[in-house]
Amino acid sequence: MARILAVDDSPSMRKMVAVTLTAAGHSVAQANDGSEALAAARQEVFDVVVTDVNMPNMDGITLVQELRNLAAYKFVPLLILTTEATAERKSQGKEAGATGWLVKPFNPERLLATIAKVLR
Amino acid sequence: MSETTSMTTIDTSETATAVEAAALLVSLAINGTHRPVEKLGNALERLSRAATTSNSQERHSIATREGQSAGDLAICLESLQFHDRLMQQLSFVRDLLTAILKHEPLDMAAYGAPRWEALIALIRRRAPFDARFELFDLLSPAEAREAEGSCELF
Repeated sequence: MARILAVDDSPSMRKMVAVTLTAAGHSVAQANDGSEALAAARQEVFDVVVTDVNMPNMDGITLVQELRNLAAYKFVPLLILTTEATAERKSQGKEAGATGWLVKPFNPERLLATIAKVLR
Repeated sequence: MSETTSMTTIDTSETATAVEAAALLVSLAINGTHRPVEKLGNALERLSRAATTSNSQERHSIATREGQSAGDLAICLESLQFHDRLMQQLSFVRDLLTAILKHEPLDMAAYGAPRWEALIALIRRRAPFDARFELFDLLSPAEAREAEGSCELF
């Protein structure tokens, strides 16, 4: 089971992600925005990071870029979970170093399957 | 006095007051929704914990009910995410109203539309299909609605 960082400025979204992942046996830490997530990631190396895009202080795309600059996060799966679905934004996420792009609302089973896939 | 006549007599200060009132009402709606949804989230968390910590014998005897509960739980988790979308859309409307009121430029990039004109074009394109309803849906990109729940690994 993995240690996962869930990043979203919406408390209800963080809760939904955490409930889904912990029910499957994963351990979840939460962060309110990119800055908070980056600080947490410097303290602990998570197995997977699931982040929203539009957040105050630091957005999800910037967070992915910053994480990829850390040696410990070079190969860690970084998943974007957002309402945005345009090809342009997906391309920005891919360029930043994201592992995958999931569009809200997420289906719990699909999220767990994706986590399992990127952890292999 | 006809409705049309009364509309034309509204002066700038009345419009500003109406916009301000609308912005305040949207802010109240956003604030008023947080607490109940937080409670719902906590209840789901307890439900999830109870479902995963029951012993194996109990789990076997109530397997069918658990299967249903797991399905219901997934539905709750998926459905509750629309609260997040509601918050985004209401925030968008609030920001639009506030920007109009203060005569400030809008940051459209944060809402998936690169420019104000792009958003207007999007609304006009979709308006014939749901002109009377789903005003908030008009403010979200059509592509995003089609891609709901999708997953793409790079």
